[in-house]
Amino acid sequence: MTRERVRHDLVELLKDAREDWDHSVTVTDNTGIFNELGFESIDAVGLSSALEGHFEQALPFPEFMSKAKEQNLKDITVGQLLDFLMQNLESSAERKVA
Amino acid sequence: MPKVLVNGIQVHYQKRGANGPDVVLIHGITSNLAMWYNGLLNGFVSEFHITAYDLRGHGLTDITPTGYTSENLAADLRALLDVLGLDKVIIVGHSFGGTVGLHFALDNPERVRGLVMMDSGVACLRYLRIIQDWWGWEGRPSDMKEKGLSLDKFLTLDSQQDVTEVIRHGLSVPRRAGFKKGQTGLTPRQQKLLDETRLGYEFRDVAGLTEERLKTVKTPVMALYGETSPYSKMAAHLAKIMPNTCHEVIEATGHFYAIHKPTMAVEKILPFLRDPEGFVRQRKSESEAVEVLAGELREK
Repeated sequence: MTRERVRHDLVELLKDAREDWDHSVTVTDNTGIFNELGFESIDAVGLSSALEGHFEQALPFPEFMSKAKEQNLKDITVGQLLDFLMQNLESSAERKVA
Repeated sequence: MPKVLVNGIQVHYQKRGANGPDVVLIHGITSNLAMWYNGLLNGFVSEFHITAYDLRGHGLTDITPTGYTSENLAADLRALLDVLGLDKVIIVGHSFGGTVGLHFALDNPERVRGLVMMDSGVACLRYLRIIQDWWGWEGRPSDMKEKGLSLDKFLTLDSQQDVTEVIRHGLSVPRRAGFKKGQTGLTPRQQKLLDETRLGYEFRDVAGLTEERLKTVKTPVMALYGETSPYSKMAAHLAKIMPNTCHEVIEATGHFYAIHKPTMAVEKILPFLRDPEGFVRQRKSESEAVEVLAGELREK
């Protein structure tokens, strides 16, 4: 799956995850999901389930989140989410959602 | 996202980890299951099959006007375990989540192999809590004062059964860490929870969890509390009156060590999860030996 295709699907799932999505927002790879898109951590967990359902495989999202917190990141950008997906969609095709 | 119908509401849950023993994680009031995504969950997944869920009214689980006593939430837990087919579990609960776990263990001893109470308060033992030690107060006098809340006023509000306004004040101050550092901690969901439900009143209800009843807990319990927790005295008392309970301390941290010190928490909790009964037995025999030694030294 191409990065562009995954990016398209990711943005659609981001929109679905927020009931009050602001359609005037332009999402770029630098857009922060917490501070710009208004996500809370629980929304990110919900997004991870949506991603797993959409791509039909388990993703190491708890590890991704805890690493971001350990690194004291101020936000998680769409680009970072995309990198995470490209890395794991390629490497864990055999893993299935529990 | 995974949800199941439990006692008439949709409950959000997440499952992770190995084909090991089942462990259920329960967050505290106004929190949600995302609190475990800070390294705690990762610390357990290689050996245990983890189920974390959002309590009624919290996270992505439905909100109802009532149903927030430890008894109500323990009934939700039983129904959730039934629906998910989890027969016997170890429960790890933070703050009020541990109280829910304790209530569940009393109501359903056959379903619980062990319980970790992570800095949990129990309503019937409130007389043992020292609110002045509350880290949130200790570290936040200026934040609170800005919002017109002096310590005296705080203590007055806190002494009432309905602590909705205390919770609202606590959440309204700027967050000290995380992705939204500096922003108010009061999210629209939490606002709704405080405005439209009796949570702030009901979670303080003894709800049948009396001191006499606590003495009958058979489940192995690890009472794991922060060194500077306002519940330290309560933890020591729980270990004294509950027959199968050991009191463990996490040094140099307070009520929210689960959030701020996940690695230390995992290190303390893992040996208990591997053998709850053996762990408590060993710790109790160690502390008895220390007491005997101390007695002998006193006599000399």
